[in-house]
Amino acid sequence: MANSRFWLYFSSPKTFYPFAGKLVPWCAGVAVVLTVIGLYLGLLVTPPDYRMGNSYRIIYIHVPAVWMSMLIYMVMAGWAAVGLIWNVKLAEMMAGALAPTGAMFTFIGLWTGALWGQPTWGTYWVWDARLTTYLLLLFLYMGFIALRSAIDDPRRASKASALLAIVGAINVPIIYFSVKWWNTLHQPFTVAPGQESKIDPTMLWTMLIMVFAFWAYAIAVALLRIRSEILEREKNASWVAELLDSSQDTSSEDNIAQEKSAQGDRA
Amino acid sequence: MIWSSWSEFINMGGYAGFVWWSYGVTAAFMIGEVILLGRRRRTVLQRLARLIKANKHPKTTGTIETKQEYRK
Repeated sequence: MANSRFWLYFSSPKTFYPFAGKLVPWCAGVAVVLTVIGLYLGLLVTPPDYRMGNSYRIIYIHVPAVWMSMLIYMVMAGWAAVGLIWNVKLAEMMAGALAPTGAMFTFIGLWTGALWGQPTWGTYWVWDARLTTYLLLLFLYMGFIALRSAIDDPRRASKASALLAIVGAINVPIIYFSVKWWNTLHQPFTVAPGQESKIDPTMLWTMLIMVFAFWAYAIAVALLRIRSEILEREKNASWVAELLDSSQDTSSEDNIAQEKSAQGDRA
Repeated sequence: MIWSSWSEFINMGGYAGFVWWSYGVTAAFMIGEVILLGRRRRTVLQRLARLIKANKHPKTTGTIETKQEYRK
């Protein structure tokens, strides 16, 4: 079956490493272009909100960051499950490569949310269902990262942390529906599938552009991270030695030379 | 363009602190992550280059430990 061969092809770190390397500049380029457009529209073109004034502009980073943090968690838990069930090393690495970026977006979500809450609700923080379950997401990410680094054997570390990621995934739909199920200070859905958007179309488009910018960014940095992780974990594989041997005269030797001259400058 | 002057843009209708702290910290984290990843990649490549060198010239460079690690 061609389809299964396709997946087998990319489940090997050896073939995925150069593939990821080719993908990174494209994703990074898309992220930069969309961010520039999004910031231009968000900060310079869209009008102020009739109630919140200009403080609402935080929406252009708050909503994309929060969406990404929850999406990345689900993707991370999905890869962790694949790694656990089918014993795929690359899937385990994928889960590990996504976690720091997800944690970072969760922190940005909390940070921008606090700074938006103060002018809008009059408080930086409140222990309502949405905010509390969202804080839990940050702790889940941190637990996942800590558990991985606490166990020396990478395969065992991946298996233990995969369980945590899968069990913790139940929190994501709870965060999402918390504004519907409970009475929260956080507003209910403004934008949701199958429901007419409650915000102005230019504002909505600007926000969606920022969502795609963050999306492309997240893919780019996760691929960058997994490339380093592959090299670390496969350092004894012959293909890594061959790969570096052929490029040693150019890239890595250059890097060492640069590093040495930088050290010289400092001294 | 909705702003008539640079200072009006910076002031953000009185919400400068909230808006710029949000955007600033977000930018710092995202750029910082890319810088850290670049550094990690350089470190990994250097370590691997040393490992390969140690294997090529076993008598002159590299510790016993790295050579054994490489043979695994």
